[in-house]
Amino acid sequence: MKKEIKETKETIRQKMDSFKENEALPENLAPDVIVGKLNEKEIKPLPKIGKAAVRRIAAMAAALVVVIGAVSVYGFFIGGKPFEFDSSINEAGSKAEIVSLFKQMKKRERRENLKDFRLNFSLGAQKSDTALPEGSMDDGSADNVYDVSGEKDSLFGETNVQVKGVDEPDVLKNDGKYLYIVSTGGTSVDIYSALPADQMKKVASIKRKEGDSYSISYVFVKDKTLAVLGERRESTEDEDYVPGESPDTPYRYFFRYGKLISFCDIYDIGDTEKPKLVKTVEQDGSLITARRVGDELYVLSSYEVDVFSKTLEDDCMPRVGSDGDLSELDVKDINITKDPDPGYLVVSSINLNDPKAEPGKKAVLGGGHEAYCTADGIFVARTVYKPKTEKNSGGDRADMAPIEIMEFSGRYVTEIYNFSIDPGKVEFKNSGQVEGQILNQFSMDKHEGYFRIATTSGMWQNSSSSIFVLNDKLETVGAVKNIAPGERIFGVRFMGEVAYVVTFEQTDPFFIIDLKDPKNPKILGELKIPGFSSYLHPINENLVLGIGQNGDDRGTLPGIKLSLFDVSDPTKPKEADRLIIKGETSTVAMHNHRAFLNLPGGTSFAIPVLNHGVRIGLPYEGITGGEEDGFAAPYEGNVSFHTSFESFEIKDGKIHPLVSYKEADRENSRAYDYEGIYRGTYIGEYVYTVSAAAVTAYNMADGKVLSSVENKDAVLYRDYEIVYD
Amino acid sequence: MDPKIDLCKRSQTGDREAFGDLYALYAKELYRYAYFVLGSPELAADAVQDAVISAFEQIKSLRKPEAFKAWLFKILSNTCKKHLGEKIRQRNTLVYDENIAPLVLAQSPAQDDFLDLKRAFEILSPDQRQIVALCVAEGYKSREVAEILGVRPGTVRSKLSRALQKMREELTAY
Repeated sequence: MKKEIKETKETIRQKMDSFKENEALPENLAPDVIVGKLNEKEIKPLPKIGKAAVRRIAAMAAALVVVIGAVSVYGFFIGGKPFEFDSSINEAGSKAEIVSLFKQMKKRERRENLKDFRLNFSLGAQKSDTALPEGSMDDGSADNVYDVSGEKDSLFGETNVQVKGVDEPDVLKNDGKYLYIVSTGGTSVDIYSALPADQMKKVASIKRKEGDSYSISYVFVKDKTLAVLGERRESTEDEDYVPGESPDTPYRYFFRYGKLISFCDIYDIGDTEKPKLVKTVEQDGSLITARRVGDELYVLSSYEVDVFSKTLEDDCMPRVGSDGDLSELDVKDINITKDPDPGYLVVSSINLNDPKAEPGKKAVLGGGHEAYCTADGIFVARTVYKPKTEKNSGGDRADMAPIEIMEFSGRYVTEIYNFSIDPGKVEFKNSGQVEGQILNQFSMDKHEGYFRIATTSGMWQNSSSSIFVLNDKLETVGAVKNIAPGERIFGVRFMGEVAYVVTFEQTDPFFIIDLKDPKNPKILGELKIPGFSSYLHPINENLVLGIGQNGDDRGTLPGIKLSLFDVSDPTKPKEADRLIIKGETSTVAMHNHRAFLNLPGGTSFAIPVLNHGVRIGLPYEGITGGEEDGFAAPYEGNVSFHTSFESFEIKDGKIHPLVSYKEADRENSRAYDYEGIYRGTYIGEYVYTVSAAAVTAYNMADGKVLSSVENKDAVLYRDYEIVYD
Repeated sequence: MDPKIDLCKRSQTGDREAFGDLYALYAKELYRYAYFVLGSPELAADAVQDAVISAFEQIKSLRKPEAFKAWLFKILSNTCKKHLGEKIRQRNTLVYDENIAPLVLAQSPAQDDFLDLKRAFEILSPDQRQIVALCVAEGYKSREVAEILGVRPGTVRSKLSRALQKMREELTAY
């Protein structure tokens, strides 16, 4: 299915390129005609709208707001009181109430469609003029404290997770004997017996029975249980729809292909080579992500309701169920946000030890796209775009595009939903809201009762970043704002009382934020270096590893950059070492921490590397010696795809390349086109890599290929653009 | 220095010829984008012209000359939205301009291609058209498209995948 989409994309691209080549530019768009027009009308660039001007505008807006007592958003820009929201969320009273709410949303949506074809709604910020709320400490909570002393050597590779003890879903899991791999097309889960490493083989392949279209996203393995998670489409009948039929229904086709349903299939793998399906739990909506805490699995989905559906009264209730029997959630399990969008965030919990038990379930009318989970709570973030409400057109040239599009074209706010989790029970606790949008799950963290979140607000040169500290009622109690104006957050990691933040515009400032006093967080130290790091991995209390993109003082350059930050003096962070993997290289680990593998010993790691230009060797450029370090310069003239799994060791404050794991040569190197090796793991002394084309076993010590299982019917593309999480 | 950055910096000082040279580099891409989003050569030409003039007026507020192209697309997409907004207000139902396009396409060797493509774009919503044009033709990443259109990246991804499924049906139907 994904391959087909890829092909469609390619077809459209070719056709559009052909349009560009063959189609003449209309005469009135010829560059000399345009220049003539500029000359004729004596159009000149308008004076620059500088930062000061923007601040002034904001200040005036704020004054105005105070007078009319409306939305308090601009207080933010002038350093006013922290942004606050009414976080009260009601439990639904009855289904009738929910149906009526959806009917109101339908009206609103129709109105919005006529006004603006955007599918976003202005939610209207809640105004609050009270003093700072008191933070109440939550003593009993389990927090995300990075424990550097407690690293135990595992006998096999585990998924690199954000919070210790909270397992995250992935396309590769390893139980020390078998590898469980989601096929690149999402059609099957293949089980490989990994030992002996020189005789690796595929022993089972799990597919879903139904002819329905489905796509497997992730697996979890816990003892003798395998959980397979994905999405399927429930077909619906909607044949009488004609595009553009009425201005009321321009979005109908979003839902024409049927509802998306997330599934979680539980298999008994007591006999690993003969997995037995025990139970299927399904819930409405697209799969956001899942987490496993002990035996308890939590599955999160986002269910968008089609408010123009003829069956709205049925569709507006989210469903959860097992073994094909989906039933509407009880109204008491549904919470309603103050000014909701027509969509739900659905959370279900499944006990892997006792899959026969009824799944726990909860829904919040709202949505979500990133989740952070500790042992006792789930925080789901949902970034909402709020279109600009007032129209500022450029002076008297009202017929032109608005002059300030770069300045205030709407804003992002992030809503946070907090659920408490207990085995068999999910409870909705509360919600909060902060200004700006988050980067990913690492933007959120909980420590000693306080929830911390890093966001970027504004766009382009007006962007700036903030860290908010919220109490257990999700009220903001402290914040550091205006971190790196004009830049965006590219990487963030909270570690106990500090946060490390990487922002980027042209160079890579690395910030250390002190969060010891929740009400008074502050910037401790800052370091500016070229390029940026998008994944930050703590090595020990003094060293943080950054994986990102090479660059110079003008922007990014080709190549993966590994940076080792010395944070022993948090007021003066230093780049202790830097390693550039030269050429057109990229790594999945930059954007997906689950592709980062911790090797035994605690100071070695490995990442997948894809090189688009060089066949021979991986030339490294050290911080000092450059190409003289004994590594070959890129080999020109033999352009090809090169993919490998590269291991490194951190020793004496330096990053040292260890071993390069390369698949055996093969004819169908087209398989590398998309991403090459995308995961790796280890068992004992052996390393295993996974690509669309093959699963390969190596000696950990020298990278020698021991055996390889080729995937004959590989779907050669894995389209990241349509994969969530 | 990258000649584009040089041209951009000269444009910022008010050099109209430099701006013309800079525009010439992207003229066809801009026109293509507006054509497929608005569905009519006339509307597309109007939108591009408005956007380009507006861009010249605003060019001093562009702080990063490297981002010129994305910035220009942002202005153009706003202009297209404005034109579409007018269309919606006039209760035109966003159907492509049937009478004009074939005349323009008549001399072109790849005529069939364009008709196909035009049909495939017709069934999309305006924002899906913008997303497909930016992601597929211009090769922007979902995060960049999100910046240009002012939506969140997840929205771009989900709308893109829906749009592509829809276009696939249309493109394979003939």
